[in-house]
Amino acid sequence: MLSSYFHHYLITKGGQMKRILKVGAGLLLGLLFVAAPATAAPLRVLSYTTEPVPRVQDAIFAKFMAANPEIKLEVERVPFNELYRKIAVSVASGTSYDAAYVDGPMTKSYAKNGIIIPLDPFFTKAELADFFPSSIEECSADGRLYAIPERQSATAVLYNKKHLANTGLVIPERLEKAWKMDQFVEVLNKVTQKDASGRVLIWGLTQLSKYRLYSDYSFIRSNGADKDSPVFKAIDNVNKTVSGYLDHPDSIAALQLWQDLHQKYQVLPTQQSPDMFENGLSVFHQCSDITVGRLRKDFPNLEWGAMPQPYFKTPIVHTGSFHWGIMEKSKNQADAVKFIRYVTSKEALTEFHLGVGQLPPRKSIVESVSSYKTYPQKLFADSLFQWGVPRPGTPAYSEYENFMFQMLKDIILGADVKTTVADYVAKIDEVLKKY
Amino acid sequence: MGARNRVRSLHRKKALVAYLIILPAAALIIIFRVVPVFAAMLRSLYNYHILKPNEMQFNGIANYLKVFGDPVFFNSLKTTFVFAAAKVVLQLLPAFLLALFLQRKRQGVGIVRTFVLIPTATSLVVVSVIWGLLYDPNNGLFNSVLAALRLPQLKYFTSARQALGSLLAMMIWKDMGFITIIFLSGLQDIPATFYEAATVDGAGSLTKLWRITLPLLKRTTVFLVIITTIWSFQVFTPVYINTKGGPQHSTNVLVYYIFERGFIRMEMGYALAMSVILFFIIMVIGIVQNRLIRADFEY
Repeated sequence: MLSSYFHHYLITKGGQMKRILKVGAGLLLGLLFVAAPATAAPLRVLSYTTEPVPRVQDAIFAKFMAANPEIKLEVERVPFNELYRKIAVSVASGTSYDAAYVDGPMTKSYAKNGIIIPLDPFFTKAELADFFPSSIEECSADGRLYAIPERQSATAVLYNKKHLANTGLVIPERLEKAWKMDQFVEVLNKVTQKDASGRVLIWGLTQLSKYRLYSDYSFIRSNGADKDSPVFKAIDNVNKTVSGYLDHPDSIAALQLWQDLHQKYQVLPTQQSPDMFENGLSVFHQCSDITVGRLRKDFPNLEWGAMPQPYFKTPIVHTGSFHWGIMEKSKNQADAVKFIRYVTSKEALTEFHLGVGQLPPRKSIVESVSSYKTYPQKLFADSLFQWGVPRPGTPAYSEYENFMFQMLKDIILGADVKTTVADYVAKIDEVLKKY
Repeated sequence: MGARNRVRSLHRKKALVAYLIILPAAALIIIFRVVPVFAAMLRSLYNYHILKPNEMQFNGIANYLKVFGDPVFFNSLKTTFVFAAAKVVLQLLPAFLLALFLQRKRQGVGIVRTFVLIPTATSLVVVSVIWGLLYDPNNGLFNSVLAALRLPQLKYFTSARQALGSLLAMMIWKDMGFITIIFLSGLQDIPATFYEAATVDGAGSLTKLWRITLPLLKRTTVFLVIITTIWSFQVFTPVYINTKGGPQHSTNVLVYYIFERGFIRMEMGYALAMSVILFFIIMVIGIVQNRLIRADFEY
């Protein structure tokens, strides 16, 4: 139809074709000029999608724009797992954001690769003094500050009060009373409920995430004799190796027990469905304090308590959460600094904390929030300040974390521990030496 | 002379119209398909860290030499071939039988046809997530059914032995509707007069199937074999969502391995070299298709 129309047009009015094309081209150019933005480019911000963060952030962002009418934010959000790849692709394609959410352990990698800029010129020492040292440490690389913390996290273990009602167990509520792993294994074997065929009905322990450095590996690191032991340190950043650390006999022993808990004793599930603890399908649940807010809001009828995370020899919980960084390729770094100063101010972070319920990175906020002075949230705060350690830091974190995920998964699913660890030590060492 | 020029001018104008009409589609194909292929080929010759795009270093065919010395690449290639071969065999026969069933005009066929097509119309991401829950060895529906039937329960994605098979079953279910519909259209293209003549000659159902249906479905079957193989080589989404190539590399298909090297280990030059090799593997399959698809006869 279109073809015959053009054909007819060319035959009857072919002489006018050039003129028509010229007019068309002129119109197209005109449209391009009309469509071109007359105002300054918006500040492009990358964040993530997990509620309630977007809802709370949007309210803070709106206040920022009201206070800075010359700056318009263009916010893009992706799922947590896609955040790193989104940043990588934006850098590779030259479509960088101005400010982006930086997951704690990735800070060193972004800094090493020149993805984010140092922020110490924009913040005085007095301004940074209100942030917890562990948060500042996570935001730093080679002695310089590369991001500003939005929140912190630490893990503890929640328990279902109904499932433990008739067990006679006394659950520790303070760090000093925390269970050692052998006690915890005994309890897990006791409380896990199975039917006559051996099928598990209620699991001993579930976790906020499976096969992860943040959750699983904190138990393994606790088998280090002290904080200077190879197993606790996990990685040798001077010699760029995990050999002698990850494959240390204490590490192998802890990994073997971790496998046995899944395969031999069957007190931890090898795969988790969403909300198992929330629906009464597990007795204990390792999680960060963001879960507390969620339980209160979405599962008000669940009766739960909290206890310190059990450990082998040296207590440890992994810390770290999200920070704000400014992209090196941003053409609007001055506005990005204004943005980050605003969203990490005491007022904004207080609003964020009250909306999301996760540990704030500022001392003054923790001191002013009454819930952190009493159980159970005090337990999370105490865990952070007394036991909290960042995940092993390396500029090769993306590669390291991926290999550790695969290794933990293979071990949990039944692979031979020694040979699997040896295989991954070689792989991890290869990527560590790249930097 | 004047008349000849006018005819030539008319032909030129006709050609111009034709080019104008295909221009938008051609431009899109060139920009989003052809240019990236050549850009990938070019960049596969560089040491290219994805977070440092401005620091690319030319290293010739070093990435290709590295591929040929990489045992994980060959293991992934083997896994991909096994997956593709199994999918072709296990997908096409049931789809053909289903198409034969759906071809008959009987009550309820329309409903069955709709149900068969639903997985095809569903997003692969959604299918992967739902099947991941169904496969959950502890709380999943499949093991609950097996338990109710007092049958041994399976581990699915949590077993190095069962993960690839579980992936295969999911993808066969997902693609069944499309393959069946293509078979169905092939069956409906066979003229009824052939069957009528065979009936007059006293041929039974099996003879008709063997002597008429199968030979005349050759082009359709070859097309489906090739398209299923190519799709199998491109499988990524369910691996990314459910297994991340594990456990113990049992589902580490080639596209996932390329993704891992490019976007997790950030060795984009190396990932692109593997992508170029995959491109040529699929191209060879395409050439084979062109040769095999030539019909022995027309009807």
